[in-house]
Amino acid sequence: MARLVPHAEATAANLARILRLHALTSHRGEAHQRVVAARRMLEELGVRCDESAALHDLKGFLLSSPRGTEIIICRDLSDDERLEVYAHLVAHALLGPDDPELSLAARFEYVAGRAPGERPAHELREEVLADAVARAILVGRLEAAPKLIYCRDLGPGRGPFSRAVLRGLHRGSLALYRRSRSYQRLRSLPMVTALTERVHSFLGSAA
Amino acid sequence: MSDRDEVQVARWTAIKGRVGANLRELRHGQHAGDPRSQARLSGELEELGYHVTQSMVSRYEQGLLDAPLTLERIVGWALCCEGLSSKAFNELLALAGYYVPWSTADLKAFDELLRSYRRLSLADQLVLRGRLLWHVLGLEGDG
Repeated sequence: MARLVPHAEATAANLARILRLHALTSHRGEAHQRVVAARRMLEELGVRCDESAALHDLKGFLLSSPRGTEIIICRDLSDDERLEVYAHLVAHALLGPDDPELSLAARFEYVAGRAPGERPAHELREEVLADAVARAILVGRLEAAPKLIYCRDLGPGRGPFSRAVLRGLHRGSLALYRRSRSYQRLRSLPMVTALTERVHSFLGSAA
Repeated sequence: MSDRDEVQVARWTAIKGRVGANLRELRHGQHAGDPRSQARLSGELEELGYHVTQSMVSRYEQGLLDAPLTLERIVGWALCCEGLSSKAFNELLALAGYYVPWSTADLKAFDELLRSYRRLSLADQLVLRGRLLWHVLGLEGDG
């Protein structure tokens, strides 16, 4: 379980669900309602949110420790931008450390063009992946990302062989997703998502 | 003066020289470059909500002030300094009589966080530092 936020997987799934529901009933000017709903859900799941910070180069950041998790957002952002920052930071939480307890860590969302030049390679890699996962959250289709990102427990499987194949396929998908933007686009297509869900259901169902 | 205050004062008197020297080292930093000035440190502590004038910074660093530095102020002071690392933080708090219950992974995470934090602009550092203080102290922030 990723531990930058108390329930990263449930948080990401609920955020995507809220955004999907709002997309179905979307009207103009609904961005504010969406961001309010997202924020409320985050707070219900134990993430403190503050949208009043005077930030300069950052759109927002996530700070976690055994004391809890908080997301701080720049006060100058529009509703859509705030929603994007929430989705990005939740995506980072999904990709974060795999510790039994909340870890002392921070994740930053920079204003475009203001990120520091010399960022470590692992941070840049995570950023690219978080972009793709955040897109999946924002369109309300978390399943458009590889399952291992948002569900690390793949279940019992039909048997040892099916379980091994299933795990291999998901790991392969995740590895490709990390490396290839083309695969990220392909993986997000509804047809491909449906196919992977079907394969997962077939191999993953308990006997 | 109550008994409790006497104990506090006696304890502070015993450690203030070493704590001050340690804080001065943290301000100067271990790496090349100009050390953070006492005036700037004083301003940044003010931003954190602690009234510590430049003159107080100077006198604390020399171990001359009798008013004990609270845990909050020591941590806040340390967070403002370029020379802070998990090792230096542990040493400083141990010197002041506090134990930091962090594992090796926590210490590594703290160093990584400090590296990311130092890449931010000063304005962003100030906001993050205000939040980080409460996380490090393990307390609920006031906003």
